[in-house]
Amino acid sequence: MSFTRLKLRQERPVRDRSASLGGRRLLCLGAVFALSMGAVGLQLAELAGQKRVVAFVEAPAETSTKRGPRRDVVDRNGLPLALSVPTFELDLDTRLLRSEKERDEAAIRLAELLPTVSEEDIRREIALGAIDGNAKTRPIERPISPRLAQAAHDLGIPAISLTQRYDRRYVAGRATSHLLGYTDIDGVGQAGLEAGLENRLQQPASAGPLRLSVDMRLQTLVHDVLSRGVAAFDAEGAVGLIMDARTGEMLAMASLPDFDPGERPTKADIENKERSRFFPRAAKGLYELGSVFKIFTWALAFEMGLADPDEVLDPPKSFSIAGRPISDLHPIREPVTVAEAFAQSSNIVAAQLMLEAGAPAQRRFFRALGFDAPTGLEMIEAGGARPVWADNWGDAATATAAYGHSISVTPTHLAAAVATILNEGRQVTPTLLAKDPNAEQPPQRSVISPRTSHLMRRVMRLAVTEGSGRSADVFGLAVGGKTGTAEQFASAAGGYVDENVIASFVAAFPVHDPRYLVLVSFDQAEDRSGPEPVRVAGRTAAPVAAEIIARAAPLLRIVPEK
Amino acid sequence: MRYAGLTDTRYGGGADDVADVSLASKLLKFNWLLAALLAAAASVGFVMLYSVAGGSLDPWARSQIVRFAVGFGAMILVALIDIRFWKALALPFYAITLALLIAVEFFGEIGMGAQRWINLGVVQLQPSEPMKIALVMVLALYYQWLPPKKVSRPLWILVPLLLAAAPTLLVIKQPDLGTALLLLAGAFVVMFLAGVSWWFFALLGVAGGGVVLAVLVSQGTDWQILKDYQYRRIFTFIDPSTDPLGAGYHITQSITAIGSGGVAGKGLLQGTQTHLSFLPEPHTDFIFTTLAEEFGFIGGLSLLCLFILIVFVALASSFRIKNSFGRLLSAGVATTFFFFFAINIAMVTGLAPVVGVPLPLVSFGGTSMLVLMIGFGLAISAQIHGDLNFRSRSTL
Repeated sequence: MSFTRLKLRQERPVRDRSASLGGRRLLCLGAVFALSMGAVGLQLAELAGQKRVVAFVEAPAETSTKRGPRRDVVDRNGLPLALSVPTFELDLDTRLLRSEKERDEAAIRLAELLPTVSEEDIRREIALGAIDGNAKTRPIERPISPRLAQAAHDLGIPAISLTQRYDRRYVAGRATSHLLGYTDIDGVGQAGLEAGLENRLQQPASAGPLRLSVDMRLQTLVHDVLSRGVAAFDAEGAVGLIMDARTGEMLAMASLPDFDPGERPTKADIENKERSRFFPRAAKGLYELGSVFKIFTWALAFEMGLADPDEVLDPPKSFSIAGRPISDLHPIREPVTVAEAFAQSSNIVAAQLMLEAGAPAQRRFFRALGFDAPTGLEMIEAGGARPVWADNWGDAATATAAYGHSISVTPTHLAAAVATILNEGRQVTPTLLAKDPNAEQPPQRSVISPRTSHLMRRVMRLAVTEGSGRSADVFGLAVGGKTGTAEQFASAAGGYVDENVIASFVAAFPVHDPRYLVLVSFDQAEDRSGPEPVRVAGRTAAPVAAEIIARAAPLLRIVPEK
Repeated sequence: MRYAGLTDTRYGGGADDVADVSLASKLLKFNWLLAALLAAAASVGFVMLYSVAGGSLDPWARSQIVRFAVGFGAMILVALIDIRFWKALALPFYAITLALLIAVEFFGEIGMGAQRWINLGVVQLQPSEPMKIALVMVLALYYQWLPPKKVSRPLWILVPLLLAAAPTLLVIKQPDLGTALLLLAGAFVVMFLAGVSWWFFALLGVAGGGVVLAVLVSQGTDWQILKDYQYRRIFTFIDPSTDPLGAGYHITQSITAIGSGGVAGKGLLQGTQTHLSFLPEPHTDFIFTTLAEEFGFIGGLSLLCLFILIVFVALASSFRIKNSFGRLLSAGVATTFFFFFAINIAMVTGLAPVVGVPLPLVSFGGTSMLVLMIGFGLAISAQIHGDLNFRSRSTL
């Protein structure tokens, strides 16, 4: 114990020395601190003394986010169709490039970094920024990836400004270009569903992705088959769609010509109007669709009890109404049943049936089928597409509308109306949004009786087995349908023109209990495989519809019946 | 071992197993002056954050107040616990923090995605903050353990150098030049106070010059030491921009703002440079500029004096601590705080390059505030328990 104490005593002087040493050094340190802070104080005083003119300089926008990401859009199976990805825009504030050295450095270093921008491009932008009246902040590249933006930031050039934004990526590319549309640079929808569903897509990302009724596999399939059809028949354009014949959900909807999602309409495109590749024909194009309208004529006749499918007719060889001759492409030379007249697409029988029904019943029926309003499809373009038919509706209009003239509707209108006829007569409203199969659906208004609906299934099947739509038959799938080859009214030519034909085929399968509706329409398609070019739908739209059905059926789990 | 009965208080030497001081006497010894000064400095921060947000408690002032309250509580708690407890923790604390820094180096990719660079200068990878205190603690522990006569021997200088170099290099790699400077400065001051020979510091000056030379020479070569933008910051400083719109944009704007404040300032919420977004990061790195613009030279100098007062009160209290661990720790914390605000203020007034160090206690930021308050808690604990003269190995 005393030994330890002895040790402590010996240690004391040493510790004392270190304590005093630390004390002296602390004083040194304090002096250094005080001196350096004195320097800072002097600098502050000097700055405060200078009354500088405040330079109102726009701060370089280092980073700013304009708005949050738009909601993603997915197909009915949850596959992505439109995604918001974070990207950056790289701009150069030319005011911050004051010397030739800085300009050189910015151009050279940025060109090294950015794979798609050349040094000349950057120098040109810098030169443009130097011109009076031009914007001083010049766009260099957009969009660039976050990784590249980081690298650009690390160059340490103050003139570089990076703005974060969210870019839309359309996974299926052209296949959904009309359907989804596009947004502007600020992420505001400008076309298609992007514009039509703007409010819902602006909801915060926490709302989850927006689920469409579209099936991406069917969409690309229809787009693909239709594109090949356009190429094969040298058509001006085309529409193809698959719809759930009971719920009205669009499983696929494509219009041609179309565009790459990265493209935006040019002045020429805008002047081209309905001939433009940006024109979504399926939702917006109003066409006289011709003989496919006979579906409505026959349905009205059955519904009003004016005819029965098996009733035998002996139609006149020629017929005219209000001085206007009506003829058949394939004149009927012998008595036929009402069903056979449908299958052979007789204009004369159609006109006679409709005249018997009368204009008031016909107009009421058209309104019930939804031809008095836009379809309600969610694309922005569908909103303005109201069918066109005259108010002064004379006998001539009654007769020609019986086979699809004097009235223009969109392909979507037609598909929904045909689906209504086949869906036990209950109205089908088209939609591009997925419906919850478990949720209770609003009751569908009854337009015709189930009996008429069943009769129409029979005659549409006959049109494929015996009539003008034979090339649409798919072995084992019980396709029912109707062709329509309609000359279009061309104001330039002053009337209907032979070459200007819209050839359509509307089909349902399996027709005894229709699940799906397929519509294919070609604008000025010609089948040149034979000695003479042929424009009838039976040779153009029908075989293309058959290919779509044959390939879509397995995906829809509808297997050929033995 | 009944030291208690044998304690000779005339020499200020106590024994480490002397009976624990009562809570009441601890509270009496508590450095309330320092605590009040810290609260005053933080309050300046609340006002400035309120102003920067355009006269709103959100998004910064409110959460800053909460963070300071938490930090203040933590400081008191830490201060009341016996310094020997913290001394025992010094080495593990350093080891864990260093391990975290290494982990950041290897697994930090996860946190370095698209967003990191946007907040560059604001978000620093976390372990570097507690390392500021951990390094001071472990060095204080080292010199408590090392017999005084050995402190200047080259081999025994190597140990603290390695202890400081490991975290510094890791932080430089992140890259965070400002924090690296703080770590080195803190370490050298602890070594200086521990009595390391003047020769060493002379040598250090020469070596420092060599490093600066190496950094400059390495630019553009394969072994380039700093990032391009770090060089740009340094050159911007060295070559005070002849043009105010050139590369010296941040500094120019900051100096313009301070100058526009004049002697008395423009008044709260009247700072055009700040509120028109001419300044980058007005709520973090450049908050002093906003203060100087709105409250002028008087306001800026007052905060400066407040800070200096904090440092001097902390340093002066260190004098009275009998054990070298506590003395070095207390002085080291004060020094770290000094360098923290000195680098920031020198930066925004154009006396130092922009290195991205926030203003302690005032700038918006949670981690650095908490770490700093805990650091002061340790310093106060060392002062409260300053009469303890616990055994170092050399006394046995």
